Amino acid sequence: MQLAFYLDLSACSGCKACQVACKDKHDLEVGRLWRRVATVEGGEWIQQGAAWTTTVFAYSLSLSCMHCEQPACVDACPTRAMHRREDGTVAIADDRCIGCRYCEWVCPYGAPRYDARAGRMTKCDFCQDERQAGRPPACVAACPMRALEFGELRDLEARHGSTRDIYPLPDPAMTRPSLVVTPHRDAQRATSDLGRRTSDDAREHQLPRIGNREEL
Amino acid sequence: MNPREWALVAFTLLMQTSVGVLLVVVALQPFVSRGPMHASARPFDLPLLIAGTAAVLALLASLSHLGHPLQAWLALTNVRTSWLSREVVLAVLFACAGAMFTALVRSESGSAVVRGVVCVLAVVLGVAAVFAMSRLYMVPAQPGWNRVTTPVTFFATTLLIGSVVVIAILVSQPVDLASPGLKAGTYMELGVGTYTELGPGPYGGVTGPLVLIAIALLAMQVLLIPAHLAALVREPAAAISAGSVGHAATWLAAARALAAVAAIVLLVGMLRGMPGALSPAAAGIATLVLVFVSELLGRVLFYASSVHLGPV
Repeated sequence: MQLAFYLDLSACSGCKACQVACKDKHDLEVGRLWRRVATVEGGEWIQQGAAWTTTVFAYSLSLSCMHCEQPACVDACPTRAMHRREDGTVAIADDRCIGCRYCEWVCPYGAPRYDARAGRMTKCDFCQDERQAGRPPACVAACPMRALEFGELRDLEARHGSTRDIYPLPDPAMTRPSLVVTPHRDAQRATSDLGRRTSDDAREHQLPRIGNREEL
Repeated sequence: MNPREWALVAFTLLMQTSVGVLLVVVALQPFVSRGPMHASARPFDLPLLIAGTAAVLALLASLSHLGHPLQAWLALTNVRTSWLSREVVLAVLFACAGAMFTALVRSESGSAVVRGVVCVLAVVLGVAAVFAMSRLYMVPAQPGWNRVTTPVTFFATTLLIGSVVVIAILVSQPVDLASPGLKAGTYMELGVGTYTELGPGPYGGVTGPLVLIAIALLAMQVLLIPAHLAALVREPAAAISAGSVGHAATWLAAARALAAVAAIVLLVGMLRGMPGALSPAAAGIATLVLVFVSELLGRVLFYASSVHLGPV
């Protein structure tokens, strides 16, 4: 069993209802986000003779813990507080977390977030209590576009394919994230040559980049 | 730079200082020749005391960055997969072995075999601790740290600070050559049942090679600075969280290089028998301060140049 999220980027409007629902459900203070929505933007205006054409695009990417099949955080955690449950979700045992924040460094998705008041790490727990009550996770329930779903990873892959290498997500081979994505028409592949381009290149050639980095 | 990372700067630098001093003390064994033990010839007592103090302070500093320091012992429980857990275990074991070694040397107790075994154990654990310390930063999500330069610079810092601490102490406390019971030159106890010849003067004997090693390590650290800055500029576009240093990186690197070059000038002066108006003790302490400042700036630059891969 491996639970996973499905994300339909062609339907996502970037309204951030999922982000707000998550914050509300888990009572997260300002700055601590278990789910956040990145706005990816790029393109430029190109002159062709007397005419100007545009390649400008933007798409949104709703992100939370990927509940990876090979989670870097679980291996790296020195106290074994970070662990995988039977349903494949990755969770933190509060009584074992010492707040060393190493998981924050090793997670390529930036999922673990530090709770300064509790002195421990926190992260998306796939709304375990909601699921036990037979309800979907708060983010899935809140999505007005039905762009977010959850379910068994193999079922989601059978229905939607196995695409998950979408920029700005890192190469999925790194941790095997439990995420299935229907790409936006302009979405860039994370495994393309884009990942090897520098930030200077991105600025100069208007390659895709995150427009709301400070919010994430 | 995140405030909690100052605790990690302190932990890594102090633990590397401790390991480095012990390594340098032990590395002088090839220069050992059997001779009479003399109470005035114990110049390694102070380096070993410094190594022990640095290890204790390092471990205390490491606790200060935790959300729950009283539960720190839990970090010993995942050596199977976690480099951080391995680092903690190795650092604690090194501190214990180092303390035992120092106690045996100070009390002049235990057989030569026992002292030798404890000595080798402390060295192996110290080297392993520094390796684990560097290896835990080499994770794919941190492309700025996931380079071979991370262990190279950590080991260079270890040997550099260790060498300079021992140099500063040796040149600051020259043994009384006229002391009764001493043969030609001066002798120091190594704690393994043998004695080392210091040489005819404070800059001779074992301090000469140590000074050369320190100069080589300082030069290497300075030469690696442009490569580090270039790597920051080559940050991949996929790395969303740019390092928090920005332009400050250049200033940090420049200040570090300046301190290192000044230390090299003093060390070269020592080799040439200078240091003019400076007494040997002042030259040694000034070199130590400059090297420590240089390494401190380098470590701040290391943490501040964290580039997190992915949508952070």
